[in-house]
Amino acid sequence: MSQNLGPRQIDQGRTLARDSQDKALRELMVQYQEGSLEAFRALYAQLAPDLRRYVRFLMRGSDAADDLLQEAFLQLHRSRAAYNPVYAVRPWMFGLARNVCLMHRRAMRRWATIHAVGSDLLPDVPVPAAVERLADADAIRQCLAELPTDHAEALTLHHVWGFSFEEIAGMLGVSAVAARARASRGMARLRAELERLSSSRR
Amino acid sequence: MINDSTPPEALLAKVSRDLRAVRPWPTPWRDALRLSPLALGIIVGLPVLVGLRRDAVAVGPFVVWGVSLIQVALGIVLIWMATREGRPARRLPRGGVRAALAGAGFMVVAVSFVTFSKSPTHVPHGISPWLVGMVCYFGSTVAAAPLFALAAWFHSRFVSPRPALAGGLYGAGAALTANAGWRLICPISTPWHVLTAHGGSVISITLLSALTAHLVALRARRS
Repeated sequence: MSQNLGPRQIDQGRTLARDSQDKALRELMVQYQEGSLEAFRALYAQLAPDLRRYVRFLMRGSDAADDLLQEAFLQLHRSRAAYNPVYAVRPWMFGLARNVCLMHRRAMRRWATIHAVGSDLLPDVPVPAAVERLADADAIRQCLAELPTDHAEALTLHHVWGFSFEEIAGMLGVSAVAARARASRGMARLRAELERLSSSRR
Repeated sequence: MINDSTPPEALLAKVSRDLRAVRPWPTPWRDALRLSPLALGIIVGLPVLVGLRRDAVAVGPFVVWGVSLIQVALGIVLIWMATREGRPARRLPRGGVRAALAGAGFMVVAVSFVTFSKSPTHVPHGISPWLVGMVCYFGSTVAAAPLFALAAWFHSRFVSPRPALAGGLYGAGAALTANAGWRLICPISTPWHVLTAHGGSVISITLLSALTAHLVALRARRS
């Protein structure tokens, strides 16, 4: 059945699913703000898997990723009053995790080391659906690692984690137009890298 | 092996230790607007306490009160930007933030020349221009202190990836508002005085605020 759906309908379906998930997450956040530990556990259970992959992606597979994930949840706890239920929870939490990673990177002054990791440390990032037919997952991950960080981040935030460009703009501190442009350039470059890789293998 | 969906015990212990109910803070606009009574208090309070500038009639009500109100509005916008900067996933584009900061600087310069063109007044003979400058510099800095302290307290609740920028925005917002009040009581309009004493105070508060926010964030990271 899903094979008959066009990309736009698939996108609409994803948006609906995301909206209903976010409604549940907002309710959990409100319960957590009211002092429920169970709500915190439930939030962790729903957000941690995706966040771990995102943090690993940002940290390029660094060993610090798990510690930073815990730090992000600690920051959520310390600043839980700052969350207002009018906000979507997933972008808030991804943005918080991003802030924690940025501050860690700045503190450690390890940009150069992080960006020089080998392909064996490539993050466990899911492959964007838009390119998964073009090559195997490993090849796509390898090519993703070749992209400029800001392009790869916008690309994965949109195509993998399903954030809108407005949400991505808020996380990255750029305009929605710039976020769209980064994702689009990232996708074009990813396709070019994949073609280059496949022609070199032939 | 890390379980993907169960929080580690250490994290749970830290969370459980402080799980009191909290009330959600307002959105950035409401947060910034909560400061507006204090901001308006500064531009009304200073003339009430010290007296309105002697050449107010010559300068005209728009350049006296209208421009000060516009400056206060810009100050609140800068504080709103700082509040957004401190919230995850609510950050504003860098270009917009830079434009607002540049606009604040431009406003201080433009207002000083417009006021001078309406009523050119100089430091009276026999009084040291340096002394007058120091009084205005420290006076407007002190006038900004309450607003700055309140804005900084708001900011201390958030984690900003660019603390210096957020601090600079808070400082610039508070300084611009204090400047709007100070220009209502200072009878000297010569650009030399206004740009060095009044403008110097705006720049100093902005830089000091950015530096303080940076050091506070550095210390928080180390602890």
